[in-house]
Amino acid sequence: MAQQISDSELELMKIVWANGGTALYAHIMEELTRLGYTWQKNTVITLLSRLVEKGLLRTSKLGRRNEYTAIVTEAAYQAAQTRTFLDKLYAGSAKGLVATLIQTDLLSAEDYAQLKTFWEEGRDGE
Amino acid sequence: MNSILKILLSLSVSGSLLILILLAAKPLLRGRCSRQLQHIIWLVVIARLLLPFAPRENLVNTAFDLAYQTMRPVLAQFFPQAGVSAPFAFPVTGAGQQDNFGQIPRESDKDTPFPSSNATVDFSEYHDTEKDSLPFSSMFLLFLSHLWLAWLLPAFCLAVYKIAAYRHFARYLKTSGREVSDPTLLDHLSLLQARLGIRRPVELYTNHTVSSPLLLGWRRPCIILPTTDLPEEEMHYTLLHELTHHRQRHLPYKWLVQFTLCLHWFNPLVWRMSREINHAGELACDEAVIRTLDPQEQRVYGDTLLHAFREGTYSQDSLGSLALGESAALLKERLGAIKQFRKPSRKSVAFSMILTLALLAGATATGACVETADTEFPLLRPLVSGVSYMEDASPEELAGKYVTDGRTDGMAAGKTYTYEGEGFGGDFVIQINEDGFFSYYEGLLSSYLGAGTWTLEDDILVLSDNAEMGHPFVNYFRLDGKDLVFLAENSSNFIYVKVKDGERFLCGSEE
Repeated sequence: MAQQISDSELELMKIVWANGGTALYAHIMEELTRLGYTWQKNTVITLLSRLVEKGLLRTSKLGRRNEYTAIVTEAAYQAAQTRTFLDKLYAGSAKGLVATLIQTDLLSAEDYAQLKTFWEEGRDGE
Repeated sequence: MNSILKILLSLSVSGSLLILILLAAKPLLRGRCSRQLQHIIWLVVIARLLLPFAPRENLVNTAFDLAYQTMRPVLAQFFPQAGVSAPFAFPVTGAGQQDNFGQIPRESDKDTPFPSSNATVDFSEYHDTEKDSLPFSSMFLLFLSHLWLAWLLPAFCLAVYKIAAYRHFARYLKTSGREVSDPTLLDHLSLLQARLGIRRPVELYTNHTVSSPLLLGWRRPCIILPTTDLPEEEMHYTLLHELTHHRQRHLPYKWLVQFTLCLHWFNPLVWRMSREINHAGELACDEAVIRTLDPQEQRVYGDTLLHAFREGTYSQDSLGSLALGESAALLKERLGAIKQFRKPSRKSVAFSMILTLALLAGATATGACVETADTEFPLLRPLVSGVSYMEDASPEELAGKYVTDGRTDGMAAGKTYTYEGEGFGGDFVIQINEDGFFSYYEGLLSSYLGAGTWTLEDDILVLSDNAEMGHPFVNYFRLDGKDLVFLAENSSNFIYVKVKDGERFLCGSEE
């Protein structure tokens, strides 16, 4: 799976994902400005090429302009990251995570109920 | 291949002269021309070391010729085999017709419609028959002829080593390092790039195993810092310094020097030059940075250098990368240069131009061994092509063939003899040369051209055809007055024309 990416790189990925999985460089720059980032041109180019090297993005030329396409979907990325996180902190078990979420009030009562239903449905379906 | 080695050696000599000149001139240059020029001027020396072009008359060519002339009689003593001395003996006959050692002399000039036979004989044939009292010397000659290998092998290995070491180093740095992801820092770098006019994005890494900031790579440049934990000002100057190295193309220059080093690995002055160029490069970079700073900023820049030095431990020579500083001595020089920096005056600009022109002139004048057929290493000729010998000749006989024995002067030498017979549509002409060779052609329409060596014993002229031509004829003539009379009894005769016994060959023009 892809290596770890930095926060700034993640921002860029989110922009690409939000745009349907593909985005022109110009669009990425616009979005960044809109989101309040003041990153320089070269900075963004550097970050984008790092993402390409790590296998998360693919670059292609649309005429004279560069287009970036996400190779990994957001969902897949989240899943992979979660798995890594679970392995690292909770020895791969989700139970511990959920316990923490509840104990630290990160998980509200409704969320928990929804989660429980979802979980049980999945198990019955097996 | 040895001619290449010879050219290289001559280039090395010229280059060494220039290096010595530049090194000696260093104190002179210090105040008078820019550090940038002091860095770039070495390109003239590198050009001299790499480019085998020179005017025909030049210093090194003369020097090499001189050396060869003095060496020759010495070598002739050590290698008294006729095969080696024969080329040396040619000038003794004074015939002066040959230019190239080891070849049958060409026809002297003029009207003989006679092309010479440039037969060359495999010298090894001769070696087999000689009572060889000095096998060592022939081995030494063999070694000399392959001297170029003794040069090529280390040069090649050095090149391979340098490339492999660099790639290993680069890979190691990139994998053991971490990308700098802080957008603020990346922006800072980006702004500096824009200011310096560098279009391609430069990557930024940190690597705690690196002793000082360095620049890596030319097509995909990358700055590697030991740490990002620096005050902003120092970060600024550090990045500025490395980017300036990139902008001034110091890395390709460095690789050019490495290439020169591989070719001239045997020359310690070239190694010295390499070190000098590196140091000059750092100073040139400092100067380019400082030029844009006011005195206050210059001081901060100096502080940055000092701090970087204090934090790190320094290795001697980093392959292919440029460290912020290499040694304390260099650092001192650099700090001194910062303190003393003055904008260049018109006088110093003029001086710089004069210096450059002078060096260019010097580079051309010292020159190189201009390669001509004449100056190809004659020592090695015998191993490749020999003088035409008869197979069973002894050294003394052969020596006799080339040194006039007195009896032949004026008698047969230098004459042309013509036989008007029922040849193959024309005359049979024999040309006797003074230096022991003869040549003939059978009839104007004949394509057979013969050549070989002749001797004169009393009044009997013996013509021995060159075995290499395929027809080892031996023919006997008697000198009768001015003419030759053919003696058919022991003679092999010729190919197309069968000369009858007693036929006269009339003496033609005298040379």
